[in-house]
Order: sequence, then C-alpha cells, then structure tokens
Amino acid sequence: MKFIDERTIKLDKPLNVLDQLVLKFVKILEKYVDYVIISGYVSLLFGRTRGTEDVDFFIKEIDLETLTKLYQDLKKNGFWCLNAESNEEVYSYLDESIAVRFAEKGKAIPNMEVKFARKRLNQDVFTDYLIVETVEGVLKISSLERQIAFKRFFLGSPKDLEDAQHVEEVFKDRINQEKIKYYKELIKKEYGKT
Amino acid sequence: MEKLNPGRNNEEARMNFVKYWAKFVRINTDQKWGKQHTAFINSMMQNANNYPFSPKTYLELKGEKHTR
Repeated sequence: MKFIDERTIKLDKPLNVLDQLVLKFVKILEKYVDYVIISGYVSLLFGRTRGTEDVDFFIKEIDLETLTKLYQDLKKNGFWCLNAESNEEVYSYLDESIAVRFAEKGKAIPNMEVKFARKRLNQDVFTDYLIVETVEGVLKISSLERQIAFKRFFLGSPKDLEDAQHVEEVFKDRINQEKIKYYKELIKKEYGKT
Repeated sequence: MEKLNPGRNNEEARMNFVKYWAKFVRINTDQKWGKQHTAFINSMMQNANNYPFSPKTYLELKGEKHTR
C-alpha cells in the first residue's frame, strides 16, 4: 500500500469477503449520504489479523425521505436492517442517536453499524478523512491519527490497543504524532477521558 | 525478518505478534501479505456462518434496542 497523495492510499491486496461486502454496501450508501468508516475495520483493511462482527460508519444527518430511498435500495440489493423493519422505525433510531445495523438478508453477522455523526468531534471525520483505492472500488476512512487516538485513549480495550498499534506500525513513516496528541486532547475535552 | 518475541504474559505475547505481523505488512507487497490475510478473514467469516443468530438474538446479546 502507498500514499499516492496526501489524502489517498492505494491498496493492491486481494480483497476478502468482508471487503467485498463493505464495498457493495458503500456503493449503495454513497448514492444518498456522505459517510466515513471508523474504528476496527480500518485496521482490518490494512491487514490486522482478527475477526469482527461489524463495520462502523458515521453518516451525515439525512431526513426521513432520503433514509427511505436508501433503505429501499439496500433492501432491493439483498440487505435488511436488524433493528427494525419500517422506514419510520429505522429513521427514529438514527434520530435518537442510536446506531442501526444492516446485514445481508437472513444473516446478523457481519453487519454495517450506521450512526449519525452528531458530536463536534465526530462531525470532524468528514474533514480529515482518507480515501482508500482498492482493486474493486473506493472507501472513505477516518484519518490514521484519529483512528489511533480513539482506539488508544477513548476505547482502550486490549483489542483496541492492538488495533492502534497495528495501524501505527504499518504506517510508521507517515503517522504524525503531534496530530495524535491533538486528538487525545480533544477526546479529553469532549469526553473527559484519557 | 527477526524472530517473534514470545512475551512474558498473554497480553505481551499478543502485542508482540501484532507488531511482528504489522511489520510484515509494512515491508512486503500488498499481494504477499494480502494473500495470507484474505485466507484468514475469509475463514473467520465462514466460521460466523456457523452461528446463524436471528437479529433479535444478536441484538439482545449485545444489549441493543430493536423492534423486530
């Protein structure tokens, strides 16, 4: 993998079934709303060896009408929502800042966990995201420094610390330690953690 | 590549492996590490199919709200 510009990583690995499912989901999602993939899948995309049951997405806020179109398109393409059936119910979860999960119909795992980015710190993912060009399509992911800081200073479980270490080691020559400190301070300010 | 350090306990052994594998990813081509990684992830996903939870069971196990 290599950075081809400041914001774009070219990734030539053969895709696994999870990558292919994420790309299928994203190709529908991005028709209706801006998104950024955050958390564990970012580490997995770059080679971390662990299983996962979900892929986390932040999306910008949309109205019921747009959500209805998105949900219909997802259903038409073989996805279902695990939390609820009706458009209104799915929307009400998102509107209450509760994540909703979409999976291939008939399955619960793996699923795409989708949430409105509402907190200021979460909304910022839409300004400092990275683009990953895979061999079968493009994905938008959170910045590497943000990923490391949230895993290390906010989530903090052994799995999260390992995810952070993996990303930091893989991109050893690109990681900006000052940016990690900056996010650490923001996390402390917004969540009172670290 | 240098040898993998075993670690004094499980936590350290796990972290040593994370560093070891991440270095392998960094210094090799995407094709080389990706081939092994894809086989690993695909097998994990295949294994998940052996636990066909319903949405209700899955969300209740996670303590999450649902109306299905």
